[in-house]
Amino acid sequence: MLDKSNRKWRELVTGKLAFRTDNLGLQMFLKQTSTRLGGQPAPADVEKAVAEIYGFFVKYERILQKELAIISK
Amino acid sequence: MNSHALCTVQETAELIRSGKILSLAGDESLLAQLPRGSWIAGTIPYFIAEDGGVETREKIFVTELAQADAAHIQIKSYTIDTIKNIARDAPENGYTVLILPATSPVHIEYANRARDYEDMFIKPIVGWISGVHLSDLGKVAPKVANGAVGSLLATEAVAMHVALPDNKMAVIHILNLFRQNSAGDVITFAQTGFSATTCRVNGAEVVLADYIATGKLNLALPLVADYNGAQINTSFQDINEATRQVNFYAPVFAGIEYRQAAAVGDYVHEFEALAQVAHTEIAFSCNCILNYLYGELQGRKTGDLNGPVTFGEVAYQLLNQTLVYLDIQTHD
Repeated sequence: MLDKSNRKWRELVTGKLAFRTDNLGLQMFLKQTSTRLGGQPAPADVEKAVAEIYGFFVKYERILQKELAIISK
Repeated sequence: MNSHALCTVQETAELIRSGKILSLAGDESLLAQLPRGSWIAGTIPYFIAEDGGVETREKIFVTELAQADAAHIQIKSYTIDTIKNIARDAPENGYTVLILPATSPVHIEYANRARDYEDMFIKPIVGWISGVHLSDLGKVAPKVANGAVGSLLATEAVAMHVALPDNKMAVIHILNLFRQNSAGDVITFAQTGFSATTCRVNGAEVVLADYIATGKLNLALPLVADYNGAQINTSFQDINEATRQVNFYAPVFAGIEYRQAAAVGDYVHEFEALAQVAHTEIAFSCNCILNYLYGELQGRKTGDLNGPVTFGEVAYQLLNQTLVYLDIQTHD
C-alpha cells in the first residue's frame, strides 16, 4: 500500500483524484470527506482526512485491492 | 427454519427462548407479547417474505442474525443525546443493526448528522426506520423495542452490535433502481434539512415548489446524488401549498449536487431484475415502502432479499427508495 505521505491520498480526499469504486462505505466516506473539506481546505484538515481514509484502507485492505491498484498507478 | 421468515408470536418466542440472536419487525401488539432475550425490533406491518410482498398484523418478520452469538453482541438503546456514539460503540470488526422510530427526534438527529459521527463509515451500520400501517399515519407512533429489557420505545433508537471473528467481514450493499438524469438540472441547497423552500437550479435561486410545478416533475422520482459512483436518493414527501415548502423523506445536504432521477421504464420489472444480484451470506435486508408501493411489490418477490418494508433505510446514513442488504464475507 502507498505510504500515508504519498500525495495520492491528499488528491483522493480532496476529490482531485477522479475515483470510482463499488464499495459503499468508501463511496460515502469519500463524498463526506470531500464535501466537508470544500474548495480551500486548511492543511491540517486535509492531513486529518488523509489519516482517516488511510485507516479505512488499512482496515479493509483485503477487499479494496482493485481500489488500491487504481490509487497506486 | 429459514433465517429470514414470517413467524407467529409463539414461534418467535420459542426462537428467543432458544437463545437465537434476532432482529424483528411486526405490529406493536405482537412485539409486546415477546419474552426478554437477545433481540431488537421495530414496528411495521409490511414485509418482503418468502412468497413476496405481504401486509400482515398477525405475524412477525424474523431475521436471525448471521454469525452472531450471545457472547459477542451488545444491545443498546440510544437517545437523541447518545446516538452520536453509535459507531464508536460498534465493534472493531463486525456490524451494527440500528432501528429508529420514524419522525422521532432521534430519527431526525441521525438523518441530519450521522455522517459526521466519529467512526461513521469505518464500521458497517445497517438498519431501518420503523413505521406504522399507512392508515394509522399520524394516529399511532412508530416504535422500536429493546428485547433485552422488554421495552417499547417511541423516542429512542435501538441497536444490536455484533462482533465478528477475524476471518469474517461485514459489507453493506444497496440496490437502487434510480440513476441521475445526466441531462437534468443540477439542484443544490443552502441548508441541510428534511424540507426546503428555495434551492439553486443550475446556479440560479428558485422557489422549489414553483420549479416542480413548472417542470411538471414526477415526485415518484427522487433527487439523486452521486457519491463516487453510488447513487443516493432523497425522496419527495409532499408540498405544503400554503407555505410552498417541499418536504422530503430524508435530508437534502448543503454542498451536495442533486439531479432528479431519470424516468424508470417499468418500475415493477426493473426492480425484479435488480434484485437478482450475486451475494453470499445475507445477514440482514430491508426495502423501502416507496418501492413496495410504486413497485407494486405486494405478492411479488425480490430474489431472496427478504425483510421489513420500511419508512427509511440505513446504510451508514439514512437512505430512501433503496433496498439495503448486509453481506458477511469469509476471508481465510
